[in-house]
Amino acid sequence: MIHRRLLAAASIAASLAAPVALPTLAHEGHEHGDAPKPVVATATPTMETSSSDFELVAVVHGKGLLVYLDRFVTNEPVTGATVEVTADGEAVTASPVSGEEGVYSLDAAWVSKPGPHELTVSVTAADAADLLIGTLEIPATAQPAGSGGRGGVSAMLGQVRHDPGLMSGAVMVFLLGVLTTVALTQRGRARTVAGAALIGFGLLLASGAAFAHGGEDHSHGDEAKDKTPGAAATPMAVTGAAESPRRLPDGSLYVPKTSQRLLSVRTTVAKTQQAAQTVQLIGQIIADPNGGGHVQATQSGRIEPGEKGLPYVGQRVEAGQVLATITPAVNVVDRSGIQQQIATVEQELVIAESRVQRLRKLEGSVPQRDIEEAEANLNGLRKRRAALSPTLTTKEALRAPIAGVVTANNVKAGQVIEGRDQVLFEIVDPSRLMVEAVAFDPRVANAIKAATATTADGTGLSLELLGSSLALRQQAIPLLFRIANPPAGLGVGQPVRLVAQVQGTASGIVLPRHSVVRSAGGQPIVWQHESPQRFVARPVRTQPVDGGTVLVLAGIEPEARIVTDGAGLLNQVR
Amino acid sequence: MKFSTLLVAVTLFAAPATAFAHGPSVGPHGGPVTDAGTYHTELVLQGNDVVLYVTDGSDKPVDVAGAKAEATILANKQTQKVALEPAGANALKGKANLGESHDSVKVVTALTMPGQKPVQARFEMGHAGH
Repeated sequence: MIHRRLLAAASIAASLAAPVALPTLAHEGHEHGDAPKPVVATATPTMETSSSDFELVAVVHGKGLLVYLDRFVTNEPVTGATVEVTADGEAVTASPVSGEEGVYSLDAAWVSKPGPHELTVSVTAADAADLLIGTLEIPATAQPAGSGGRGGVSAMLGQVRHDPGLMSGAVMVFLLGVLTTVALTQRGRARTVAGAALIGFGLLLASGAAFAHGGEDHSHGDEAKDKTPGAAATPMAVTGAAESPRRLPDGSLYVPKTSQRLLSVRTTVAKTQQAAQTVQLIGQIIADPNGGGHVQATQSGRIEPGEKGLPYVGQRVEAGQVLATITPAVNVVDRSGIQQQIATVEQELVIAESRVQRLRKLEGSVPQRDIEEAEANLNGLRKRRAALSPTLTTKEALRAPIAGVVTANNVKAGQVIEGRDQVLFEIVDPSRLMVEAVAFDPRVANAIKAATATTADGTGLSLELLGSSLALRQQAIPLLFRIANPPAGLGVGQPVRLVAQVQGTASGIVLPRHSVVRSAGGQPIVWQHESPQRFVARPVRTQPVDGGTVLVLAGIEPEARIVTDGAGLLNQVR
Repeated sequence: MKFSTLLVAVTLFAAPATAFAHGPSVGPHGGPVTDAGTYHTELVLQGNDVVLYVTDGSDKPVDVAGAKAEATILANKQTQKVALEPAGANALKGKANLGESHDSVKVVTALTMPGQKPVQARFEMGHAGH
């Protein structure tokens, strides 16, 4: 008899406990049309629904509804749409809220009526029209005045569900019941039943969380709806801060539409693509040897400004433009030597001239050979005179070898230049810049087909491979790329990060680089827009495609909506 | 006592198992199938005829005598409401004005089974009128 009673008590207790333990089992092999959503407790009743065009969140606001309407694919607010909400057989057209994009408000008397409301929302935007449905659950507690419909056990369950303290109380009632049953089993039947009832009551309270889910989402199996294992027993209800973005216990993010608008979160739909295999290199910008010039003096002398003065750094100069002149520096000894030479040559010149004249008069009587010798001598002396005379006065013009921008000016007016090694001006043609990179793997150097580069400030450059050196420099192979259409503001010597495409392709999902952020553990992740107000972190394996995009090789499924803009801000939600 | 207790226990254990039942997304009449409350509903558009077939969770036809339904149809950016009347067995029928050519038609049905609350279902028809 005693054993029977114990068995009876245990049976009742176990059967009551079953709904708590079974939900995960009950879910197997069954998938509803729309993705199951974990329960997120919101301070105000909220309805989320979406179709292939739109994503809609309706929030109870006072005596009406606020409707947030976004594009499903991009999460952009939809402006200028006509939104008509039908509930309880009554159709109301929402009016756009001024000053906010994609927010529509309407008055709805029925929001004060507790219970589930079936909503049909008709959306007509410029380019698409749609019908959306959803269930807005108005809880009894949200409207204390004039409700009072739900009391007794269900209200108690609701309270237990929200309060961990009560939950532990229920556990204690259960333990008390067990003790009572054990202690009183021998005393009589009525008390055993009382003990069993206590056990059952404790379990009922504990499972209240599971029962209390009933109306959250349409389903055949009530609490079995939640996909997250164990979510039925421990709802993801977060009491406290109401409509602020927050991290849920499972690591996903609850981001209300208002916050999504603030962070301007945008998404894209993942599509599998083929992309070239890539390698990353470090390089720097250099001037094209044909597009960069040095100006040097061929002799020592004193700098004098050209017609337009000395060029400034940053000044644009034309090919052949005189940048400065050099007055040759001749010291006193040299100068007197040259003057002596000039005097000697002039003296010889006078003698030679008179000799030629005399011989010409005697033409026919003197040998022709003598006349020609004298004339040759005279010509030679004249050339010597011509060569000697300008040495003391002629200035050397320093001309720009190419058109471009002056990048260095190492001289000042009046400065004396010594020797030939000194570079006076540097000129770079900004339309003919190059990138020099080093590759440590010869196979990589030979396999590179095309490349892109990004500067530190994020400017993208498209590169064209010119060639690679055959000689190693510090155990690395220098590679040279030409920048196609270089943007303004590049500087010689600026470091750049290169993504070079090598032979072979990889299949994956192409995303912008800023989609991929780091988790707290340093793992690369992307944020997936799972349901209108929920984002889930997906760890990914990536490979760069070019400076601005990455290829996700693993971690996300095609057709998933991945956050592109605002991923970094979402990542900071705690 | 023991038997009755066991019966209660078995019943309670079995309750969550109802969630197992389910069917394909295209119904026997060639239309899309969607859940509507505890029912499965299949919608077929033939010309201007709108037919809603109702089955239970295990795709067994359900008698719809006494039931009523309303279809909200969005075609060519125009919405129209069509009342669907029981038309024998598990079908509810109504007449809509769908016009000629349209890319996609979206339909929301509100089905009220006798003595129950209305349940909604949403259908997206690729191309109607075939």
